[in-house]
Amino acid sequence: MNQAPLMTAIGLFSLGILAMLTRRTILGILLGFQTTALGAALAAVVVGKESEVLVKGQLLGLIFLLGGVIPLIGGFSFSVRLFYLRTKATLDELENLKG
Amino acid sequence: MITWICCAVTLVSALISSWTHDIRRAILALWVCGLGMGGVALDLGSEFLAVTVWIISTTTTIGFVFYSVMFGEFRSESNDEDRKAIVKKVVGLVTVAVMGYFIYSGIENAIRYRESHRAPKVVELPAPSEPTEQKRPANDLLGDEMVSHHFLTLELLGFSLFLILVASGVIARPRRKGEPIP
Repeated sequence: MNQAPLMTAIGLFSLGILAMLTRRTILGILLGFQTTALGAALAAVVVGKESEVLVKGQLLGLIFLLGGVIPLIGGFSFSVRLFYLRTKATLDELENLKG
Repeated sequence: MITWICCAVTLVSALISSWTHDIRRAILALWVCGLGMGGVALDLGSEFLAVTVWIISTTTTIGFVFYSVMFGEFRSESNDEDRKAIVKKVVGLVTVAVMGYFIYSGIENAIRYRESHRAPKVVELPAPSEPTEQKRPANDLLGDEMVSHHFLTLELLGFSLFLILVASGVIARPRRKGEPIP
């Protein structure tokens, strides 16, 4: 088995989680989420290739990618709303979840 | 060789995207990460997925640039002391490295288990008079699989995308004159 694509997928997923944990703005968290989705899609393709069912792996990767676009759009609209309300799109004021 | 280059480009750009404080570099690194990942997918034989990844990463990068310019985020975002920020990053990196190792071990063990329990293949040679079947292209098979076994999934995805488009238009509406701030 070629290790490089699998290690890349795992690295992408892990670095996406790292970005989501360390970023303080909504756009930064969305960046991390997009990286995680890329890693998940690549992992699906790699596993499909190794199991000799590349078509199913490719399809699963496609579903992960397209499904990852949905929270991205929601995050963009939420950040716009937050910017209109608070004139900034950071998460500092949202720590205690009070309005 | 090309696989290794694409994997290295993908990982380095993902590292830059998650590590840097400068949001401009992070967005451009994410774009390069998407391009590299498409290259890896192309090398694995998934042409359709590769093109889709390139399109999605380019359009999301454009979206990120647009929104960060609008919010004035086109600058460094960190206000922590340098030492605290470095400690946070190192702890986060170690944590995700350990998590990555566990995920890798899990996938490796699953593939090894499948390999050890696979039934031996029986190779049947075609009779000389029978014409051999032509192998169908991968995109053909992908389309068949999509439409025959995963049609509901695609319907749900499309409907969810439509729903989020409508919802985002409602959520992101500008405040009208006289509307009280909650």
